[in-house]
Formats: sequence, structure tokens, C-alpha cells
Amino acid sequence: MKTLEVQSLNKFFGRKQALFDVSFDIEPGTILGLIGPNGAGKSTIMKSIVGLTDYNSGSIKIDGKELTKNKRSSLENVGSMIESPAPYLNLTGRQNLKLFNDGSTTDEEMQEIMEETQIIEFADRKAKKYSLGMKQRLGIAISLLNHPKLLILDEPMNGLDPQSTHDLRDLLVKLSKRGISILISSHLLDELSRIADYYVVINHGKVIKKSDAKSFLSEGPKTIKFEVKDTDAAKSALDAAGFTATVYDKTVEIEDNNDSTAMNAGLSALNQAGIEIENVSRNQTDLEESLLKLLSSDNNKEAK
Amino acid sequence: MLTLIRQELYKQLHGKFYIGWGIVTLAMALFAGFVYHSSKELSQINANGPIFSSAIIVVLVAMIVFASSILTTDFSNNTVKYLFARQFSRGKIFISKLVTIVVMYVYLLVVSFVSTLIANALFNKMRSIPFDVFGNRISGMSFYLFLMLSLVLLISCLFKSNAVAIAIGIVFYFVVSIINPFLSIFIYYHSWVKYIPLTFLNVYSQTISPMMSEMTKLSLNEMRVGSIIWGIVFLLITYVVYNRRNV
Repeated sequence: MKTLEVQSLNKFFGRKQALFDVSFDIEPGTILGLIGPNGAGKSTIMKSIVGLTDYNSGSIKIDGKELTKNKRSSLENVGSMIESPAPYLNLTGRQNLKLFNDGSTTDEEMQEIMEETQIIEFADRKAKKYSLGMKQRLGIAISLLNHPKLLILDEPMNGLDPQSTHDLRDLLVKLSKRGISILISSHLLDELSRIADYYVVINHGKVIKKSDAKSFLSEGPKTIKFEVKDTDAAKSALDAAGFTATVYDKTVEIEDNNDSTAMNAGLSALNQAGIEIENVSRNQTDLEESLLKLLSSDNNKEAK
Repeated sequence: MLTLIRQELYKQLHGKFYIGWGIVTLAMALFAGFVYHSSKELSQINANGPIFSSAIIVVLVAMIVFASSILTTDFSNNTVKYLFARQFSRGKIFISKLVTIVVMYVYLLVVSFVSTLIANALFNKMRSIPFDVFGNRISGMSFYLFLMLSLVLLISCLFKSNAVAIAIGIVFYFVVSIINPFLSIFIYYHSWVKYIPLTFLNVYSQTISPMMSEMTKLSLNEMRVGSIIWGIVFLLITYVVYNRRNV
């Protein structure tokens, strides 16, 4: 059984449609990255799933149980942190956890959650004295209470330092291995690409791509980078040979066509122009590039 | 439901409201006792009734402040995201808030009673406690607060601001006594005016002084029933607004 099934979700803000037939699902124990530009509808989708906002049509099932305005029992299995952490500031971290524990999390389990999210050292300090990173960790700790099967995390890495980001990544992977499904959105695409099993790309309220992580990246553009001394001359030579070269600092990049022809043709063009090549590398595209390409092609389609 | 009530009370127990207003209530009772004690003429009478009345006026203000913030604080602090993103329906959350208001009211009444006993011991020569007067005040205040707090909850929910609700709630308390002469003229010319909520805000005054019925043209029981009906109407509207609120 799927942990989350979202089917044909439509949402209007007044007359403006914010979500168009959004559908996707999450298998148990997997991490799904919800990505897209600001205002694309990611938070609206997440808010609809946890019942913070109504939707106009469509259906949401959590662990097989339909979620409606009046039937909310399926949310027993959901932990969430939407947009930003919002603990009770006059309570300590520990008191916040006690407050949101509906009784199913034991003291030992709560201790474990505090250790895993690394809030133990400041758990007895009032939340109003927390930094953004501390609040973020407390928000994640709260979402882990009551044994969730589905975690919904909206920008959980915001405000975290590199070490905390690394630790959170490890924690999320550990949780998914325990069978918890995770729906996560983040603008830190590099971080997301290290943990996500699947991606759903949202643009202008529509799902424009659903794919597993590996194929998503392999479908994206690849590049060949030539490290040269005279980048302007190299660009002219490559452009003259029919490429569209781009200069980045001390390198010139051309698009790779997945066989050796582009590499050979590029090298030969540079050699013929007498340009000294210091290094050549073939680069797998990253999530950011893939996303940008996808969004640009979708935006062009819409413009037409 | 019990989980929600426990959580609401947990928040209150770790807040400053109940201690702060408890102290103010005690201070008011002691001040009233001292004033009666200091006056040659007033010290001859049993001041327990007036002392208790002074204390529960503090309760009235405290409850207006409390009710106006209980719904809006979650929105202004954004904690509503944790509250609404759970398995509990908004109806249950709303009821848990109402139960918390009742618990806080009972607590402050107990504080008022204890404060009166302390003031009695310190300034009133341990005179007898007029339980009938106390009962009368509590009954009048309870009907009044039911109506007033329902209105305050509605205003706080509509305006998303506890400051506006507190201001309107407290202003209403004073304004009602100011506009009563005009109200009585309106009631004289248009008898239906006696059924507007403003008339029923005199329920506390009429409980203390039955002569008020000359102005309201309603018996005390009619005033009580009217307060409950209008209170329920305001609560239902508040619930509808609360239930439809998107985060």
C-alpha cells in the first residue's frame, strides 16, 4: 500500500487556480523531493495534505485512508513541518515535545528523538532563545513524535549550518530505511539530490515531471569542460566549429552528446586554433541544471 | 478531545497568565478590604460582599483578555500549523479552547473567593461570609461573561487580532453603562430593541439590582435566557469562521 496518494488535486485562491490536477504518490520508506520555483505550489500541496488549507477537488489518501475536512484520522500517521518551525516560544524544547506528544511516544522514545535531532543540549532552554537552526531541529523533532509513517518537511534545511545539514540528511535517510516515507521540498538542490529517491517537479501549479532520481539526472544536459588560458579565443573557436560555448571563469563549456564525437570535435577545433588546453573533463549534470532546463522548456511551452 | 484539553491546559500552566491575574485579583481584594477598613463608617459594615465584587471585576477583565487571545495567539505565533495539521477536527480544537476558558474562569473565581477570605481575615475582623451575595454575583457574572466572551471570541477570530478584541471587550463593559439611558429610550419607542445583544449585556447589573428590569423591560430569567441564546449564536458564528480559516 502506498503511504501517500494524491490524485487530481485542484485548488483555487479566489478565481486564480493555484493547483492543476496534481497527482503523485509515495511508496513506503522512500524520499520524494518536491521541487520547483518559488510560488509554484509546493507549500500549497503540502498544506493541503496536512489539512491546513482546503482544496477544491481531488483526493488525498494517507496509508490507504481518505483525508477529508471531517475525516482526519489518517493524519495520525503524519508528522509535518510546513514553511517554518513554529514552536511555543515560552516553552522549552522539551516542553514543546511533551505538549505535542499525544501520549503514544514514551519518555525513552522522546529522549531518542531529542538525541537524533541533536536538540538534547538545549532542550531545557526556552524556545524563544533558539537560533533558526535550533528551531528547525526542534520542528523536525516535533514532527517525529507519535510514530509517523509519513513525514512532510517544507524546506527543513533552511538555517542549518553545514554540519547540521549533513546530520539531518543522515537522519532522513535513516528514517526512510526504517520505513518512514518522506515528502520534502528544498531549494538546496545539491542536498536534496543526495537523499531523494524520486522527484516531482512543479511549475505554475502543475506537475511537469515525475521521475526516479537516477533517470531524472541522466535525462539532463551533460557538458564537456575545457580548461584553457585564453577563454575568449577558445569560445570563438568552438562557436566557429558549430558549438554553443559558454565561458565560466577559466573554462569553456559545450554540451555533450553522450558519445565521443563532441569531445573529439571540440578538441580538434581548439587544436586547430592553436589554443593550449590544460584540462578536459566530462560532467554529469546536477539536479539544479536538470531542473533549470526542465523549467525553461516548460516556460517556453507555456509562452507559446 | 482529552489530549487537546490536556495540551491547552499544559500551555496555560507554563504561561504567566494564571499567576499574574491571580496576583492582581488578590491585590484588588486586599485593596478593597483596606479601603473599607480605613474608613470609620465603612469599617462598621461587613465588607465581604464588596471585596468579592471588586475581585470578580478583575476576573471579568482577565477573562476578556484571556478569551481574546486564546484563538488568535496560535495564528500570530504560527503555532496553528502544528495545531491544525493533526488528526483532530477544528470543532474539537475549538471545544478544547472553550473548556480551557471555563477552567480558567473557575480557577479565577476560586482565587477571588480565597482572596476575599484573606482580606476578610486581615481587614474585616473575620466577619461572616455572605454566600447568597457571592452566589448572586457569580451567577450574574457567569451569564454576562458567557455573552461577552462569545462576542470577544468572534471579534478576535474575525479581526485576527487579540488587541482589537481586548479593546472592544473592555470598551463594551464601560460603554454599556453609558448608553443605557439611550437604550431605555429606544426600548420605550421600539420594544423589539430589548432583544438586541446590547440589552443582555446588562444581565450582571440586573442580577445585582433587579430595578434594572424597568429599563430592559425583561425579567432576570429572560435576561439569562437571552444571554445564553445570543452567546450560542456568537459561538456558532465564531466556529464557522474558525473552521473555514486557511493557514
